Amino acid sequence: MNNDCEIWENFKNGDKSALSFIYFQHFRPMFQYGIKFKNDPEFIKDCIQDVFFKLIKAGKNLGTTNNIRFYLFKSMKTSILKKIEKDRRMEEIGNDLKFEAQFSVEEEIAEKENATEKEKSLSQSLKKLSDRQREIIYLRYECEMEYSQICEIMHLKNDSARKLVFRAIKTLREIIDDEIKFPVLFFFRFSAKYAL
Amino acid sequence: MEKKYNKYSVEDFACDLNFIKWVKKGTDAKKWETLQNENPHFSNKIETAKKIITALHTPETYVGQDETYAVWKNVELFYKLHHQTNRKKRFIKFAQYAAIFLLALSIGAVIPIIYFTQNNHREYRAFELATSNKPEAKLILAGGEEIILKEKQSELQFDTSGRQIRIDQDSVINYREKIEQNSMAQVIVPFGMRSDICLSDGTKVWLNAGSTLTFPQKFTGKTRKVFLKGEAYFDVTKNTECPFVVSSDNLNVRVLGTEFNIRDDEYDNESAEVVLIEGAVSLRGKGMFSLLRDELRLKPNQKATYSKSDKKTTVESGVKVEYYTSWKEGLLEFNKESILTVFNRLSRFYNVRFISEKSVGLNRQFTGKLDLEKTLDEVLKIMSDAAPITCRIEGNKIFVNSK
Repeated sequence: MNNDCEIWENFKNGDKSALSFIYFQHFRPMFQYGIKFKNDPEFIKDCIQDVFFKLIKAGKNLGTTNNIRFYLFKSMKTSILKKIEKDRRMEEIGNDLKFEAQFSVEEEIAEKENATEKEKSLSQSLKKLSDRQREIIYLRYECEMEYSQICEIMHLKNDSARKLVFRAIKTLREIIDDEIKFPVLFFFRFSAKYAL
Repeated sequence: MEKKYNKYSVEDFACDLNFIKWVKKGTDAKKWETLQNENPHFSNKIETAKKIITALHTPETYVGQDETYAVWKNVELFYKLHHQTNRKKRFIKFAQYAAIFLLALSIGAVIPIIYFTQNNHREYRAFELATSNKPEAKLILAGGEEIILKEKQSELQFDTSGRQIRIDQDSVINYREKIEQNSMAQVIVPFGMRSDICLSDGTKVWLNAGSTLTFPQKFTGKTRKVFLKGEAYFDVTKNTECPFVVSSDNLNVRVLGTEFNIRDDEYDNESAEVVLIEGAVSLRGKGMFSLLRDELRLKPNQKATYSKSDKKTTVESGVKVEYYTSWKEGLLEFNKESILTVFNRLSRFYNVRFISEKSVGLNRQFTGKLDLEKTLDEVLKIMSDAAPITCRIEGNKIFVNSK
């Protein structure tokens, strides 16, 4: 029996400790994910609240899940989309959510006054990543999701998430492999970070 | 080692979920380090893949604890309302059927008026205690109303009816709801805060940081029973007719009128203890066969220690009670206690966690007084002057190293 399954069942039966457990376990990740679509903390907090209101309301009628985070992310995206549409009913409705995340590296290179050619080309190729690729990368590398789940959240066809990630990684590798031939200190700063 | 890795390219590594988990969080470090050591030719690939993963790090947007709790409050309220209306709906449905049924029965008869009372039994354990580490002290009244206690050292006073509650000298709550028999109120104090409570029978309770006391808002019945998690000092009002019972996770302490300190912490794996200052108490462990064992009587200046591992209670006479009770005066006294014990007790008052290397001599003994009015910085300075250690504060963690 999967732990998530059990907690989810308890929650459906109206167990308050299960509710608080789920909430505190997933608030931060939901917030981090949401804020990439609309950089407005109040808005995102409202969306999270809506997600939980809906879950409580649905109660026993909810489906089963063995991955609560995945379930919540899906609901989160729907909630953001709906709320954005509601807020700009008068304006033209774009059905697309833009995932606007910057990688730490991009910011660092941008702030650097004398970035090397290699760093510039790295930042260039990161800039070329599409919103979708950024979202997939975020879900894969920060949230550690399976490709099948990523596809479901993003309404993609079976294999496309994997292909999109692979393509992005390949481009980066070509630049970084080059880096190894002409080592640049810049990257060693990063290796120090994950040693912690 | 799994063969599939032999064919792995840099990209394959960089996309592999298990590999990602290792790079980001150190999951299965052993497995990956062995793989690296056994196959030196992988090294370059693995290093490059690591770099790619690190380059793909997305920074976090700051969101504070208080914001998390603010949204939680709303969710919690929604939960409460939702479950209340559900119950009401069910009740109305039931009432409708009942009315039809009664109507059929009682043509020409007088229909008695029936009052339904909702069962107000409340579940305390799981949820309230799970969140007792929240940085907010609070009082929960018998009807479920929550009152946040703002003072670092709050004072609560219940009058004899249990209906009027004075909080910190300045605000008074008049409780108008019906108080059901045995309906419980609760005071939750997080680490770093304290509360002094005067119960409806006049008993005084000093509730230490990181503790929860659950008690009848008004005492009824043959015993006065309260529930404690953590540490408290009791000054019980004498009433020979109606014994006072403190029930903690591991112990039951029964008293008639007396002063004593009891500590039964969930995060202390070794022991729970009761120290008697005045009068007499009898106590009993709560183990499976405890009812077969004799009740233990304590005399003043005796300490009973309940060992959680072998579920036995031992008594020590002639203890210096100040060591166990000085916390309520804002002092911590230590007599040849290990530094580890000192840290454990300090963490409760300052709401911090101590982290140290094994090599730091934490068994070294410490004797002296620490004034809890002092800031954490000052207290740590005293500690590092007295013992060969240095302390570094980082958020609510304190890293201890040897000098």
